[in-house]
Amino acid sequence: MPEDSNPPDANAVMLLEQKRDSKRNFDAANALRQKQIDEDTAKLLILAKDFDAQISKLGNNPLPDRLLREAEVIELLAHDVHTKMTLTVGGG
Amino acid sequence: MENVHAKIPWRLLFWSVQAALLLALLSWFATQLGAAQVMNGSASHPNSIHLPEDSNPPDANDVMLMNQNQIKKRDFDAANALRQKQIDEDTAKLLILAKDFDAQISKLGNKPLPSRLLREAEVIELLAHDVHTKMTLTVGGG
Repeated sequence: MPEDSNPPDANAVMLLEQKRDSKRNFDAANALRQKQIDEDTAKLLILAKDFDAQISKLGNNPLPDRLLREAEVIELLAHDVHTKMTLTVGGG
Repeated sequence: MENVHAKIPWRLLFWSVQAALLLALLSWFATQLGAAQVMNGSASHPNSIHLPEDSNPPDANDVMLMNQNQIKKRDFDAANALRQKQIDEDTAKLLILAKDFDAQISKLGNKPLPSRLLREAEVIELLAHDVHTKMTLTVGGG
């Protein structure tokens, strides 16, 4: 049929370009997010190491408020990494 | 008759009566002062004798309350010690998971994130939340 071999019209070309642009943006956002996940994971590991060392040193002494804040930061960072990963997996 | 009156030492008798009256007056004042001190109690004198009710041993109800408080404190200490042990263990697990997670993420490069890693991130988040909650309870209660 002739319509099968016809070149796409202006509207179809515009739509194709828009799709390509959005995919490019999407890939860039995913790459950026993956870079952030890498960095946050490295931070999480550093914090977890420090936290474990502090907790081991503590023995039977009462927990200081400083450690409580550190646990809060680790929790927030872990939540952040998880959220970013969900977005990347869902979008990619 | 005049001789009998002349023999009585009127002057001596007068002064003796005066002295007896003065002594009686002084002893009455001393008695009144002592009674007033007893009525005022021990507040004005820090070294005074304590009343018997202050030094009595606690009665059965007081002893029961004290025992209950002691048991409560022991339970509280035991719960805190257990929580602290769990925090130690969870922190060690958290470190192992974080090490593994970091290694996996570093190996990944530009490949898409696998679902397995997403679950691992979720576990790390839950564990971190758990540790934080337990620490809040221990600090608040301790």
